[in-house]
Amino acid sequence: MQKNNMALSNSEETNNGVHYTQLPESDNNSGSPPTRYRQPKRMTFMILTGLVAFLLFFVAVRYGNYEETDNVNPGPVPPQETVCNMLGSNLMPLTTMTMLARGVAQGVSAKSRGHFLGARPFPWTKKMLAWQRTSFHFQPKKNWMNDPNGPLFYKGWYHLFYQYNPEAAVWGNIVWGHAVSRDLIHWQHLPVAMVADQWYDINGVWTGSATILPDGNLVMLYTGSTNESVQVQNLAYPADPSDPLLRKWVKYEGNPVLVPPPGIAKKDFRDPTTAWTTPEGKWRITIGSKVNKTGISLVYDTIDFKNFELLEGVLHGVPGTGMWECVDFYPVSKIAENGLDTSENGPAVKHVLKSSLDDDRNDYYALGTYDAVAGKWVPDNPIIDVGIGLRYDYGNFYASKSFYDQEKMRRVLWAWITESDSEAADICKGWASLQPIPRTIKFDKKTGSNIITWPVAEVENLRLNSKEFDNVKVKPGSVVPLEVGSATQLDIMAEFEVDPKVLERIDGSNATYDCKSGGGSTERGALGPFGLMVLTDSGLSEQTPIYFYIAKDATGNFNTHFCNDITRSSEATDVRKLIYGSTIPVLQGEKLTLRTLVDHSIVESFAQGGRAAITSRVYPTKAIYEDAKVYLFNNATDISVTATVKIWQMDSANIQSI
Amino acid sequence: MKNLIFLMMFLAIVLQTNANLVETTCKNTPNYALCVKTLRSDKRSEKGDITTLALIMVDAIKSKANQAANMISKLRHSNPPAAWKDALKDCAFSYKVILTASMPEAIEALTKGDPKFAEDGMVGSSGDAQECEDYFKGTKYSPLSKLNSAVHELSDVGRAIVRNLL
Repeated sequence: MQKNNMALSNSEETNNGVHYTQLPESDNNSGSPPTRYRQPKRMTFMILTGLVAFLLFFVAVRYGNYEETDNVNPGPVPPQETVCNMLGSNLMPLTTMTMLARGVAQGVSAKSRGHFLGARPFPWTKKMLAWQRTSFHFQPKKNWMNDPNGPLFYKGWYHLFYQYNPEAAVWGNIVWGHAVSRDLIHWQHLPVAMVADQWYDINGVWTGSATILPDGNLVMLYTGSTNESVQVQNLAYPADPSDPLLRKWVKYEGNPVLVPPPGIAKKDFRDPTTAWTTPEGKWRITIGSKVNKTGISLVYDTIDFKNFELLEGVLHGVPGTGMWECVDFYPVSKIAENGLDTSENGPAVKHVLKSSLDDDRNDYYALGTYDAVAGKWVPDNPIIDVGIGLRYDYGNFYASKSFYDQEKMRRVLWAWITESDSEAADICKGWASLQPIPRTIKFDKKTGSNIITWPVAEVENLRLNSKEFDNVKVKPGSVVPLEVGSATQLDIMAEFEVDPKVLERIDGSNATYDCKSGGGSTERGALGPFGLMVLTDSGLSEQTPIYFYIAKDATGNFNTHFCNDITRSSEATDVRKLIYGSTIPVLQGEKLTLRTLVDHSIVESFAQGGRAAITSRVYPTKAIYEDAKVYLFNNATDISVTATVKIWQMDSANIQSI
Repeated sequence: MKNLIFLMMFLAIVLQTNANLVETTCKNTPNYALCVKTLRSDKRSEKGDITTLALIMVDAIKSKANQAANMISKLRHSNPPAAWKDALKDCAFSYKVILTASMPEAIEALTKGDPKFAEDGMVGSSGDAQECEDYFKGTKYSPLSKLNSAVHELSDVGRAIVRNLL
C-alpha cells in the first residue's frame, strides 16, 4: 500500500517540466447519471449507456491524474533535512512576515481568509521535536504503537507485547511488537513476535491476553481480523517454552477458536481477556462487544482454549456506552495489600470490570460483585457503572490491560498513551505513542468505593539527587520557583496544607465547578486553584499546571477537584489543549498530596496516593531542555497554601535492543 | 419484459433505500450538500453501507489532495513569488502526509474493521489542509485556497461519517 505513495512522494519534488493539463478545480466528479429515475420503458439501454459513459468519465477523471504523476522521472532523493518541511529553518524571519502583513492588509481577500482560524501554524524545529522523546517510559525505537498486549511475567522476565506498525508513525500494518525487562523499567527490544500471516489474522493481529496455566505453561488468546475483515479469536503459544525470552510463537493450526456468535456483528467482537477458573474447574474469559448502543461483555468457558462454550446472557452490559474494547476483569482484595491472581475469589474479594469505550476513547471501571456460578457481575453502585462512572485516569489513557505479577504478587496496569499532536508532527519526528510507567492496582480500603493506582516501586530506582522544600508558604496569587536544575525528568512528591479555620470561615456558594469547564489554572476561586507548574519557562509563557481546586457549596460541604490544565502548555497551535481532571474524595484529616512524574512530553500525576490519576501529553516549544522549570503556584483569592515538596532528578532507562 | 420491469422496480427500490442512507448519513455531517454531492457522484453509494460511504469520501479527499500536490509542485518549479516559497515547501509536506500517511491509514482502518483510526486519518487531513492554507497568512493570497478548503471540508464530512461506525 505504501509503495504507490512512495512514487508519488518522489515525483512531487522533481516534477520538472512535464506538461499536463491542469484539472479544473471545481469538483466535476459529479458525473452522476441523470438516467437513474427515468421511466422504465427504455431504461435498460439508457442505464447501460449512461453507466458506461459515466464509468469512462469517472475513470478518466480519477485515474488520469495518478498516471501522470507516476510517469515522472524519479530524480534525486531529497536530502534528509528537507524530508520534513516543518523545520524552522524553512521559515521567513519574523520581521519580514510582519512587514508583509502590514503591507498586504488591503490585498487580502476577506473571503479566502474567513474560515480558517488561528495564526500561522507553528514552525516546529528538529530540536523541539527531538526533545519530546521520553527517557524512562517504554516506547519502540521508532514508528507507531497502540494497545499493550499479553503482558506477563515468565521465567524471570517481564514481557510486554504491543500493537506496532513497523512501517510508519501512524496506525497500520499492525504486528505484535515485543520487549522484555527484569524490573518493568529497563527494557530490551526483541524481534516482532507475531505478524499477520494467516487467513484468520491477515487483516490484523490485534489485541490479546495471556493466561498462565497451573503447570507454568502459557497460552495467548488474541483477536485476528480475517481476510474478510471478520473479527475472530485465535490461540497462540510459545514455540519454545524453555526460552525465557519467548521469542517465537506458534499459532494453533485449528484457528480461529472463536467466531462472532449469532446476534453479534462481525466487527464488534475483540480483545479476549486473561482466563480465570470457574467453580467447575473450567477456564472462563470475557470479550467485549455491543448490541445497538449497549456495551456488553460476552462470557465463554473452555477446558482446552480450543473449544469454547458461550454462556447465556452477558457478564454485564450498560446501555448507551457503545462498543466495549479491551475489557478487563479481575479480583482485588478488600483486606490484603497484595494483588490477586485472576482466578481468586471469596468474601474478601471484589471484582473490577473495566472497559475501553470506543466512542470517547476513555477507560472506565467499576467495583462490583461477581457471581461465579451464573457468570455475572453487578456493580456496587449502578450510578457509577462501567462506562458512566470512574476512570483509571482522567487524561490520556486508553486500551489499558492489567496482569497478575505472580513474582511480586501485585496487579500491574499498562495502557496506550496516544499523542495529542498532529499526525504530521508524528511523521516528522518518526514515532507516536507511549506506555505509562506501569501502575500497581489496589482496592482503596479507606474509601471502599474506588481503586488506587501507583507507579511501580522500581521506578524509584531511577531517582538520582533530590531537593527538598519544606513548609513553603504560597500566598494568594503567587508563584514560587523551585530551583532543581534540569527539570525535564523528575519525580515530584508534594503535600499541600490549607488552614482549616479559613476553610470553615469561607462562605460557600452554589457555583458549580469541574476541571474541564472551570477555566483552568488562571480562573481564580476562593479556595483554589493551587498546585505545581511543570515544564514551565521562566517567562511563564508556557506552563503545565497540576492543581487542586476546593469548592465549598452553600451547605458547607467540600468537593475537591484534581486537574491538569494543558491549555497553556505550548504556544504551538497544532496540539490538543484540554483541561483534564475529576473530583477526588479527600477524607477527614488527610492532607492534599500530589505525585508527578515528568518525562519530556509525558506528565503523569497522582493525587491522594493514587486515588485519581491524570496522564497528559505536553509539547512545549520554549519550556524545553534547560529552559524547563518547576514552580509552586497559588491562584486562590482567599487562602494561603503551605507546601512541602521533594523533587528527584530521574535517570534515563536506556532502552536497548538485544 | 415483465421480468425486466420488475427488476428495474426492485433496483429502483434498492436505490431509493440507499438514497435514504446517503441522506441520513449526510445529515449528521457538517456539510450536508457537499456530502450528498460527493457520495452521489460515486456509483458505490447506490448500494454501499456506511463503511463504503466513508471510503468514497476518502477517495474524494485523495483526489483533491492529489490535485493540490500537483499544483504545489507545478508552482514550485515555475518561479513562484518569493513570498510563497516557504509556504509551498511546507504545504508540500502537509499534502505528503495526507497522501502517504493519513489517507492510507483511513483506508486500512475502514477495510480491516477498526474505524477509529480512520477518524484519526480524517482529523489529520483536515488539520493539514488547514495548516497549508495558514502557511499563506501574511502573503497576498493563497493559490491553494479552493483546494485546501475542499480537502478540509471533505475531511470534516468524512470524520462525521466515520463516527457512525464507532
